[in-house]
Amino acid sequence: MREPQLLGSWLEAARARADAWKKALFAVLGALVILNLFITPHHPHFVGEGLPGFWAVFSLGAAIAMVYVLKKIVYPMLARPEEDNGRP
Amino acid sequence: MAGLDQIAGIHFLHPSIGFLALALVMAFLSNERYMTWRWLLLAPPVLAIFSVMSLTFGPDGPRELATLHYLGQTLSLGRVDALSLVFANVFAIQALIGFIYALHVADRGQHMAACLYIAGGFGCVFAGDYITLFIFWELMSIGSVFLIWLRRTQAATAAGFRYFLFHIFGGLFVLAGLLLRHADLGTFAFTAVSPEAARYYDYIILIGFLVNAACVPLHAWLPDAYPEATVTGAVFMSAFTTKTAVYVLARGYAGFEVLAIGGLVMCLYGVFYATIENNARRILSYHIVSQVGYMVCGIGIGTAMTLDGACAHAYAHILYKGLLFMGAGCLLYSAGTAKLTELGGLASRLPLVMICYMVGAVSISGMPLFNGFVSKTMTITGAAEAHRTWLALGMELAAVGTFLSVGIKLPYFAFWSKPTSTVELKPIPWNMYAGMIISSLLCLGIGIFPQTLYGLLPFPTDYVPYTPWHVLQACLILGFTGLGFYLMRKIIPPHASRNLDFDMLYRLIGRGFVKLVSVPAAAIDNIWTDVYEKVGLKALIEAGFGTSIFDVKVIDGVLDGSARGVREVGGAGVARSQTGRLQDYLAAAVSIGLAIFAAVWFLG
Amino acid sequence: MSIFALLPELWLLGLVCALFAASISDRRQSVMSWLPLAAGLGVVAAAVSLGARGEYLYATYKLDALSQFFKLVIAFGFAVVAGIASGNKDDKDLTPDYFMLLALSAWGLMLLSSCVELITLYLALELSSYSLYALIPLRGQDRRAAEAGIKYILFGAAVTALALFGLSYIIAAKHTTYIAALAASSWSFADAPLAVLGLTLFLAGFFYKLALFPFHFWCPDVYQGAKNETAAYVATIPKLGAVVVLVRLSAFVAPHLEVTTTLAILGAISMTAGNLAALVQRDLKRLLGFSSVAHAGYVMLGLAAGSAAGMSAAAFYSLAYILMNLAAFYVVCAIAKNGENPSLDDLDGLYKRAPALAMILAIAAFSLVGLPPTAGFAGKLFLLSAAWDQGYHWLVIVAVLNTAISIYYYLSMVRHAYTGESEAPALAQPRGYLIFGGVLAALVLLLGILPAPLYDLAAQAAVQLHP
Repeated sequence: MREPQLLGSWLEAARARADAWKKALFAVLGALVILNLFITPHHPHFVGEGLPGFWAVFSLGAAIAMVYVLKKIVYPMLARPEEDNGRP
Repeated sequence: MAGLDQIAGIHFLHPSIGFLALALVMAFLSNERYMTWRWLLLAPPVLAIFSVMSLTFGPDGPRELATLHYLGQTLSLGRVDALSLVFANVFAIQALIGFIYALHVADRGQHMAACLYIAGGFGCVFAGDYITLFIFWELMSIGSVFLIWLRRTQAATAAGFRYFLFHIFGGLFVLAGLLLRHADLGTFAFTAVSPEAARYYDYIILIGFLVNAACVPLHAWLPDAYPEATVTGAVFMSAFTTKTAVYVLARGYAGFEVLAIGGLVMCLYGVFYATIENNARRILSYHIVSQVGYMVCGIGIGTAMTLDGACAHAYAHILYKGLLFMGAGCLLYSAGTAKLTELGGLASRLPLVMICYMVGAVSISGMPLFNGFVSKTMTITGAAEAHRTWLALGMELAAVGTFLSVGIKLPYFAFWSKPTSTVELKPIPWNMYAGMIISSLLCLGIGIFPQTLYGLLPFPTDYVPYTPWHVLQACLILGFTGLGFYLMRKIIPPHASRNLDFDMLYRLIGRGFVKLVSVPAAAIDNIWTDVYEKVGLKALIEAGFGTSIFDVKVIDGVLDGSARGVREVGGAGVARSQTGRLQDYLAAAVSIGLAIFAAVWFLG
Repeated sequence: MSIFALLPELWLLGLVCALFAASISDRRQSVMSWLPLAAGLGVVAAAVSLGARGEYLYATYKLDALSQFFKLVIAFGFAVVAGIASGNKDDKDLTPDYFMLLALSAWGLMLLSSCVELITLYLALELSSYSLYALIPLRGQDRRAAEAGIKYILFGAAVTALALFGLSYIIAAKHTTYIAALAASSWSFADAPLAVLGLTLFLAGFFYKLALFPFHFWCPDVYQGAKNETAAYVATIPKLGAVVVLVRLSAFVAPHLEVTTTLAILGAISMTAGNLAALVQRDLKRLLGFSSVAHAGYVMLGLAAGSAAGMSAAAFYSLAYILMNLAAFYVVCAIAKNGENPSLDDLDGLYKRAPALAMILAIAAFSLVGLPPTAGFAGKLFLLSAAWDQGYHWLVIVAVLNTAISIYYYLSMVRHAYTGESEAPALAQPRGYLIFGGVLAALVLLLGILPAPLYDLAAQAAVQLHP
C-alpha cells in the first residue's frame, strides 16, 4: 500500500519551517506555566507539589539530568561492540 | 447442549479452544494456498471476543465454569471473575489486531506458534488451580520461542535458545513451588497469598512469576530476545507473556512489599537503558520492563485503587505497546533495519506509519485524550493516596524518561532527524496499516471515554482523570521534558553498540558452571573409560558368549518349538474345522452348542 | 418429551429416505460426495441426544443411558464406514441402494439398542439382518460373494429360528416379554428350567450376530467373500447391536449362575478357537474375521462378570473394538485398489509405498493386541479387572494367554508392512482420505490415553441397569 503523498509533502514542508514550530513550542510552554499559577492540586500529596512551576522544573531537571548522566557517564561504562556476546 | 454438558462439563466457550483448533487445522493447510485460507486466522479472535463479551455481560461475581477430571485431579479451567475478564478482554482484542497485522505472513509455522501462544495466555488467565496454570504457562513459553526462532536469522536462533532456557528455568521454579505448596497445604487451588502468611514455597513460585514479568534482575531475556523476534511475532509477544505474569501477580501476590520496590526499580531501570539504546525494538523492549514496573508496583502497594490502576495500565499498555511494536515493525519491514543510527528523516516517506507510531508514543507518555493518561495517572495517584510518596515520585520520573525515549527520541531519530536516510523502502501491506489504525482508534477512544475501561476493572472506582489539575500536570511534564530533549539534543543521539545488561552475567555464570563441571568430570571420565575398556568390557563379552549360547539352544528352542507346535497343530487343526460347507457349519454349531449347554447344566 | 429425543433415529431414517430417493432418481450421481458429511452430522445428533430419556410405544422402546451411548457409537461407526467407502469413488457397486441398505441396517441396530421388550427386540434384529442379507452378495459378479451371502442368510435364518423358539419358551414360562419384568424373576436352573433353556436359545441368536463360538462359522467365509467395504461394516456395527442386547439381558443374571457360566465357557473357547485359527491365515479379511471371533470372546469376559463394572467394560470394549477394527479395515480397503481381497503379502513394503497407511495399520494392530497406550489396552484392562473381581480367575488367565497368542498374527501384519520388501509402486491416496485415516488412528490412541470420559458414560449406562 502506498503512503499518502499529500501528507508526506506536507510533513516535508513542515520540517522546512522548523523554526516556526520551535517558537510555537515555547509559546505553549509559557502558557502552561502561567496556567499553573491558577490551577493547582486540591490536596498536594507532598510539600512542594502545590508550588506553581514545580512539575515544570521537575520534568526539565529530570530530563536534562537523565540524559547527561546516562549518556555521558553510564553509557561509556556499558557500551560494547555490537557483535559482542560476552565471549572473552 | 445437554450432551456436551455431561461429557465435559463445559458451560462456556473457553477462548483457548478456538486457537488450539486453528493450530491443529493449520497443520493440514499449505503455505502455497495461504492467500485463500488466511481469513481463517481471524475466526478464533472474533470467537474469543464474543465469548469474553458474553461473560462480561453475564452474571456478576466469581464463578467456576469449566472443570476437567484428569489423573485423579479436578482441573479448574474456567475461573471467571472481573480480574480475569479484564485481561481476557484485552487479550482477545489484541489477538484480533495482531492477526490482522500478520495477515500478510505466508508462513503457517508462525501462525501456529502465535495460536499456541495466545491459547496459553487465555488458559493462564482462566486457570483456577496451579496445575492448569503451569500447563498453559509452558504452552506460552513454547509458542513464543517459535515466534523468535521462525525469524530464521542466526541472532534470532541464539536469542531464542537463551529465551527458552530462561523461561524453562522460570517454569521450573513455578513447578517446584506448586508441588511444595501442595505437599504442605494439600491443594493446588490458585488463590491470593497473604503477605504475612507467605511461606518459602510461595516465594519460589513468586520468583517463577517474576521471570515472566521481567522483574530486574530476571529481566534480561526481554531486551535480548524481543528485538530478534519476527516482525509480527513481537507484536504478540509484547502483549501476552508479561501481562499474564501481571495477572498472576495480581491474583496471588497483591500487597507484597517486595513487589512495590521491585516495580519501581523496573520502572527506572527500563527507562534508563532505553535512553541509551540504539535499536528501536530494543528501546521498546526496555519500555515493556518499565511499564510493567508500574503495574508490579501498583500490585505491590495493594490498595483497591492501585490494583485497579495496574489492571487499567495493563489494558492500555497492551494496546499502545502493540501499536508501538507495530510501528517499529513497519520500519523494520520497510527499511530492513530497526537501528536508529541507520534511519532518519522518514516522516515524509512514511507519514501514516509516523502518525500511528506517534499515537502510540503519546499514549505511553500519558498525554491527555489517549488511553495512557487515564491509566497511568490512576496508578500514580493511587500510590500517592496510599502515602507512598517516593514511589509516586519515582514513577513520575520514569514517566519523564518514557516520554523522553519513546515519545521523542525514537520517533525523532527515526522520522525527523537529519541526515535523511535514503534507504529503499519496501511497500507496506494494507493489513499492517489496518492493525495500526484499529489500535490507534482504540487508544484514542479509551482516552476520550475512560468509563469504557473503568467499567471493566475489578474494584469499583470513582477516579476522574479529566480534572483541570491532572490535565495541566500531564501537559507540564510532557512539555518540559520536550524542552529538555531540545536542550540536550546534541548529547542524546544514539550510537551503534550493544549495552551490557544482566544477560552477560547469566552467560558468564552459565559458562563458568560448564567449565566447573566439565574439567573435573572429564578427568574422571577418562580414567573410568580406561578401566571400563580393559577390565569391564572384556569380562562382559565373555559372559555374553555364554548367555547367548544358552539363549539360542535352550530358550529359543523351547519357545520356537512351542510356538511352532501351537501354530501347526493347534492353529491348522482348528482352522481346518472351517470346511466351507454350510451344512457342516450348522451341524457343528448346533451340536457343539448343545454339548456345552448340557455340560454346564448337568455338571455345573 | 420432545421429538428431539429421537433425533439420532430420525436423522438416520432421513438419510435412508434421501438415499432411497437418490437410488430411484435418474441421475446416476454418486452419493459419496455428501454421505460422509451427513453421517458425521448424525454423530453430532447422537451426541446431542445423549441425555435424552423416555419411554415410548407401551414401554417397549426406552431411551436410557445405555441406548443413547450405543446409538452414538453406531452413528459413529456408520459415519466411519461411509468415510471408508468414499475412498473408492470408481467402484460401480457403491450405488445409492448399497448405502441405503447400510443405513437401514444401522437404523435397525439403533432401534435394537432401545428395545426393552423381547418381541420388539426380535423385530429390530430382523430389520437389521435383512438389510445385511441383501448387502453381502453385492460384489460385482463375484460368485464367492453370492456364496457368502447364502451362508449368511441360511445360517442366520437357522439360528434366528432357534432364537424364536427360545423366545416362545420364555413367554411360556414367565408370561411376560418385558425385560424389566423378566429381571425381577429368578433365573436359576432349579427355579425356572424352561425359561433358562429358552433364554439360552434366545441368546444364541445374538451370539450368531456377535460371531461367538460355536455360532461363528459364517464369519471368516462371509468376510472373505463380501466386498471390502461391506466386510468393514459387518465386522463392526452389527456386533454393537449384539453387545447392547447381551448387556441388557445379562444384567439380570447373577455371576456363577448356569447361564453366566455358559457365557464364560463360550467366551473362553471363542477366544482360543479364534486366535488359533487366525494364526495360519494369509487372507487379511479372513484373518480379521477370526480375530473378531476372538474379540467376541473377550467381550464375554465383561458380560460373564455380570457386575456393573463388567457391563461398562463390555460396552467400552465394543466401542474400542469397532474403532480399531475400522482402522484396520480402512487400511484393507485402501490397499485393495480394485476391490480384490488383500493378503499378508500385499502388505509387503507398505512403509515405503504408503507410510501413513503403514502407521495406521501398526496402531490398529497394536490396539487389537492390547498394547498400551491404545484403546485396546484400556478396554482389555477394564474387562480383565471386572472378570477377576467377580472371581473368574480361570477366565482371566485364558484371556491373557490368548492375548499372547494373538500377538503373533497381529504383529505379522506389522512385520510384513515394515520389513517386507516389494517392487510395487507407491500407493497414492487423496489427502483428505489420509487425514480421515489419521484421525481414526489418533482416536484409537486418544481413547487409550484418556478413556475416562467415555468409560464414565458407559459406567453410567451400566449402573442404571445393574445398581
